[in-house]
Amino acid sequence: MRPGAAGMAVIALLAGCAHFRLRDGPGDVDLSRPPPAIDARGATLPRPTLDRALALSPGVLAGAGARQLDSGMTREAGLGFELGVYATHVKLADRILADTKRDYGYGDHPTAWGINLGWTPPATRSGQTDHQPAAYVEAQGWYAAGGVAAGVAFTPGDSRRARTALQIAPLLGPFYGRFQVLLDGNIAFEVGLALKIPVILSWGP
Amino acid sequence: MPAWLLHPLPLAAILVTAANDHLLKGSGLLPGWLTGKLSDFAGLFFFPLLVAAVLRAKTARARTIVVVATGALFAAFKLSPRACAWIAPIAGVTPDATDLIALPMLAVAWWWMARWRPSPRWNGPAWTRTLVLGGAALTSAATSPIRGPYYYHPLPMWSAVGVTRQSVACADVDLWVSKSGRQGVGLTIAFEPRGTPCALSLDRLALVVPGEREQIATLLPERIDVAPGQPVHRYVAVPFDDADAWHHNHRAGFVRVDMTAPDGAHALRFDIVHAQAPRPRWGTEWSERIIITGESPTGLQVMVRLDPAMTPGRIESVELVENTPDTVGGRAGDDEPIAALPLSLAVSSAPGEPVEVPIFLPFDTTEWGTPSATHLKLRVWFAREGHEPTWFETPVYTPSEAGTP
Repeated sequence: MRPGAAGMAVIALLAGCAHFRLRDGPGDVDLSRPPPAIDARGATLPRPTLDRALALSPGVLAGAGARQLDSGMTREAGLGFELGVYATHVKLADRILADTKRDYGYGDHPTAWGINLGWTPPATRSGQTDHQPAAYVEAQGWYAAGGVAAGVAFTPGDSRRARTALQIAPLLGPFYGRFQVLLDGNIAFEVGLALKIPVILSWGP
Repeated sequence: MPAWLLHPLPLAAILVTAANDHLLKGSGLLPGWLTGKLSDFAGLFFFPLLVAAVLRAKTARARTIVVVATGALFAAFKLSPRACAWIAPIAGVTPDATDLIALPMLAVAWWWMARWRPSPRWNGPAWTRTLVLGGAALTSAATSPIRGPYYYHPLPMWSAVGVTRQSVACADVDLWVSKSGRQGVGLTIAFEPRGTPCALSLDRLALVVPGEREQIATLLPERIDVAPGQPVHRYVAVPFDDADAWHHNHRAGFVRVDMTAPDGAHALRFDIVHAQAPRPRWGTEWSERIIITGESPTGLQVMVRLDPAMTPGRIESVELVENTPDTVGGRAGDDEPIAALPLSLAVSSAPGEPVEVPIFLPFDTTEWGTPSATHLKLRVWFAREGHEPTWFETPVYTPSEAGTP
């Protein structure tokens, strides 16, 4: 990517362009009670609804850890890329700051479910690159600021047991851990920082 | 150890954060998206240096822990509104997941502590180190939420249009939409006595929207006794799937009210429309109590929000006042009044239920469309039952001050 294009992408993300509302609609209202001042002419405000949303979350993961080899544990580090697709809910703010788009939050009980597709290019990884899986598919659940993901790791086009693993990854904010059990019996773990920029598609009820 | 901070780069980060939080946000000098991120980038650089300096983190491991802990706390606040509410008493933090893009600044902070060695010229006397530490701490703690202007974003709602006041025997009957949402609408019917007392019967109320099934209100008929000087109000809920009506472009309809009066049966028709109003061009600073929800040439539609503990009570009046430089920070009576609406409006609510009261403040809003230096405030006088009247207020941004949102 040329520096100019990269700069534009960063500016677009900083500008908060990452939320697209596909459908607006009426808010929530409690009809069971009369208005608190019944003789006040006018309507109380409907509350913004908790809307369904799809989060497309590409990101970069930088981590370091250790891998078990026949000769013992060896340190390694790597830079990976991940695309997450999650189903979640968002709640839009009822007020907007000047010059900004409508802000949103994830509601009182923020949850998200989805899948991650990850890839760690061998060129970005230290250690024995020919021993370990390069890609993974995992299911992820998220609540508030933490979550867990679990799935399988493999190397596309190479189905040897040593290149396939089961993995589980606890998540806390931007930090992650990943624990792998390779089918050849070895284990590996890694901790690191995941910088992901979600693009939110939401739609009202 | 504060030597990490005694360098033009971290000092600039502290100054940028302070200037951004207290001068630039809401000033209109820089776009909102930029002021929204500037403090995050600058703060994530100098804050770990500050913490490491205060804790005297001498080892690489301790400095790494400081950096990681800063990142974890920052992420928690940016992802969790609950965490922001928890820290609100000491610092204003707005939850915004996109702010996490500033996290790489932690790596810069870590690198700075690991690599930068102060030259003698940055080894200032002890008082400069104390001053820098104090300034950095104050800047970190005194981050302020953006002052404004904030604009209300209207949602689609039904509202009554055209002639809403009609006569029936001893009373004028008025109808307005008091609640509107995807669960349906709530209607308020006002019976204004015209002189002689009489008894009316509210027999049936139907919401008719072409293309939708006719919706009949339950809990009717009801007897209404009208006496001189005693207006009567009734609230009638009409539940239906309003989201479906909105998405099918059903934008107009009417309410038919069947009544029986001493002079016979009456069928009243009130036209209603389904619309999403434009955003008002009048804004306010962030306020939990007062929101401008609409505007017209003849006035402002204002929403007053009260806590459940504030009811029962009365909203005594609503005012728009101009703060002259001499009266900033002065007493409420020192301001120049622009519009005042006496109300004495009784407010009650169910236990634990927050209260919203819509109020239309009439005045000529067109006078405020031209550029002028103004310091307007909306003020609400309020009295809890058994207590002295008090007031709350919020600064107001006119269209000329804030531009079109």
